[in-house]
Amino acid sequence: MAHQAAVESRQVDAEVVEITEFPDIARRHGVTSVPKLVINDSVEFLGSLTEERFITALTLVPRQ
Amino acid sequence: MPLISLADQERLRTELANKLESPVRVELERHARDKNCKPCEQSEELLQEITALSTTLTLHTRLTTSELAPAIRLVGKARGQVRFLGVPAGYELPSLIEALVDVSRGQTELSETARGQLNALSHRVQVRVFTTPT
Repeated sequence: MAHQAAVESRQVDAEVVEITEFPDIARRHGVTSVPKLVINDSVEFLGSLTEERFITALTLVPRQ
Repeated sequence: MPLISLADQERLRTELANKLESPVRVELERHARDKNCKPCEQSEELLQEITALSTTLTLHTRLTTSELAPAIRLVGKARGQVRFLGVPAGYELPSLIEALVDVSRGQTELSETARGQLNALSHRVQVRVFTTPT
């Protein structure tokens, strides 16, 4: 869904991060299980989200 | 030995032929300093196999001094940026294929409501999804 948001909006940068290859980034965000979603380094979700919840999070997240 | 089995390559070839609409540039960044970067090598090999399945896909590889490598960027009709950090293997491969198709089409299966809300975004949003290949 992250990449879908980036396809639809020029304001969205979507990045899929493989944690075994980037443990430092994963550690910085406290990733202990996947999938984990981090939006603007400030809002975090563990597990899958519904479309509605995901889009709402994008629209309400504080600016970076 | 290919990373994607020949049977899967044929299935993928058909899928891409049916779904891709416009060109997608697949940009791979490999470590400039670490010549023995195995994930960089695997990513390039995987992307070579995938892009060989369709003339709509082209692979462009360059070296980077950034630590964020291998990094794959999909460039086409996406309005924002779509990137994968690390080898998109295992469970991530279908995500990569789906992303390729959506970037090629410039549209997704998101609802009209979602698309409207995304078009109304007034500030930059970075979304990071952490995964593993298994």
